[in-house]
Amino acid sequence: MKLSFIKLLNILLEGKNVKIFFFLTIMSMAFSTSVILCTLGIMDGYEEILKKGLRKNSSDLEIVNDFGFFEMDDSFKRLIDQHHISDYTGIIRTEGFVIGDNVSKGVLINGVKTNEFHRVSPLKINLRDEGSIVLGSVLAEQLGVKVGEGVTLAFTRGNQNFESHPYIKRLTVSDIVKHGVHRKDARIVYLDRDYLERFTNARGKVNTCLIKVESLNNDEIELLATKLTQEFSGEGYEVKPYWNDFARLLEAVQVEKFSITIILQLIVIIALFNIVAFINFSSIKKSQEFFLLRALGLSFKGLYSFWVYFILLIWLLSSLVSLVMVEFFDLVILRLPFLKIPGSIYELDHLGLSLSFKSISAVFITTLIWCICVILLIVYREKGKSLVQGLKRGYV
Amino acid sequence: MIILDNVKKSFGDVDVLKGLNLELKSQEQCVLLGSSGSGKSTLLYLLGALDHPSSGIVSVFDEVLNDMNDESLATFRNQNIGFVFQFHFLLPSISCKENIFLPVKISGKEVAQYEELVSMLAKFLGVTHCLKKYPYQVSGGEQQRINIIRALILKPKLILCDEPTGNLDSENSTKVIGLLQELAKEFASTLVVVTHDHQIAKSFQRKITIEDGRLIS
Repeated sequence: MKLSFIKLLNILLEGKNVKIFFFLTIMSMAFSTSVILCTLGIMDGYEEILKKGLRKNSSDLEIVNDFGFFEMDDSFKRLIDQHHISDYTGIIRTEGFVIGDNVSKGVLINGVKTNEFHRVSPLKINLRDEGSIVLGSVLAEQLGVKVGEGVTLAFTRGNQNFESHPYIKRLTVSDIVKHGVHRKDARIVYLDRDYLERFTNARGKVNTCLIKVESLNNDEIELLATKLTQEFSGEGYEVKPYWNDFARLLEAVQVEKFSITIILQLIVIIALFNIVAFINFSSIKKSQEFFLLRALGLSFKGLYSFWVYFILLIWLLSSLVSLVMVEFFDLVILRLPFLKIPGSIYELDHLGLSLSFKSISAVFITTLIWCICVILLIVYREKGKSLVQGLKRGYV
Repeated sequence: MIILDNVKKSFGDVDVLKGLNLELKSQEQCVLLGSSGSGKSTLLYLLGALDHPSSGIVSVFDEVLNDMNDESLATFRNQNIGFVFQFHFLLPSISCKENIFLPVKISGKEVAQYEELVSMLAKFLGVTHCLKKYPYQVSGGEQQRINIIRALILKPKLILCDEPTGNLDSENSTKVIGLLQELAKEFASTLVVVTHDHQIAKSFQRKITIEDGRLIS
């Protein structure tokens, strides 16, 4: 096509009505695309926020043992060192009850060494001394306690001594922390590991080892977990990524994401009707101009190229506008209080949009495929038109 | 040389041209006469590579148009044919000058090469003052003259005019036809003019009359 695309575009978009129709066509396509992007973004965001929250009381990887407590001896450390892992810490996890203000709750007690824990976990906890306890935010609210107040903790002396009386300790709340995951905020408490060790008869042993690996993405973490599990297999160890407890839920989100993307294609099809309607409207309104250009020597191929570029322009503009819309929806979701979700059901108390490049590409490529279908439709329709009849019809 | 050999053209069940034979010499100037619906415009469109015959052969300057695909026909139209339409067919969204340059831009040639020719033709036709204006800002007669410059800008070998004076008064009609004849001679082009107007027909040596899809003279 020798006549420039801009020149032909000027001819096509001449007139206020055509311009308004063109604008609305782009907006409707952008809106449809943004609906799909937002849906995927919410699901990706759910996964991301959940994983972020899960990582907070853990690290990148957790090592547990089928036999319960284990010793982080030299052979254990040698295995870990082979993978250039420098930051790890052993913790003791056990269950108990916290009683405060006439309410008692079952809790998961994490016995940690704070200096080591802070090296592997993004969560900062303030355990002042052996008589302190750190509570999850939801738990503190349920118990009705604040920092500086006291709670009673009841826990067993380990499996072998389960039949005997539990230990009951009065502890002072030195910190209240927020993991961002409802179940963790409602269930987890932190104690000093050395203090907990004395009552659980652990004697220098731990039942979980938290490992931090540098700059690995989730896929790489999963791969490393499988690799380490194989290497540790003879000893009864299992290496799990930090999201392991929620793996099923996350898997369900992925399946749902795929299904919804397919269903939401319907919205794109509706937007495509707008494009077809616009092209019909403009080609009727501008038929004399286009047939004249053909009479003057513009080939069908040249005109077809123009339509291809034109549809691609609609696709490109609507894709860009849809990204702006997604940003806007993201702000709305985060800012408006009535869009908070029940944490006890969804684990998180708010949703945010997070879109991976993969998700954005998938949506844009799908809409592009639909646009190409429209191009084929135009070619089929335009090819059947007689130049003379079009020229006469345009001017009669 | 332009040759039409037993050319037929039908639209559905309606036969518009019924086995037409015609020869036109290079640089010849002729007028096509006939009543409304006789097939004059259809013949003109076939000569101008705007349409295909249902049967028969259309050969223009040794090129058989029947054998050409859309792309070749488009190039052929652009390089060899100059159309002057009854309705002025100017694009309203661009200036008269840009309308004139449309065939040049479609051909991919440099507009600058044709600036001088456009100035000369515009002066010759008295529309220099219209070049920067939009079509709706100039009169019908001026639009028609802009249309003529556009048809002639690439110095086509064949100039086809479909009732070019249909919307003009007799004084302007005579003037426009005179200009077309003069410019066709200047550019060594073949000129075919379709008209109802017998007064205009008088200014042509060769008159071709079509009646009911057949040549009668």
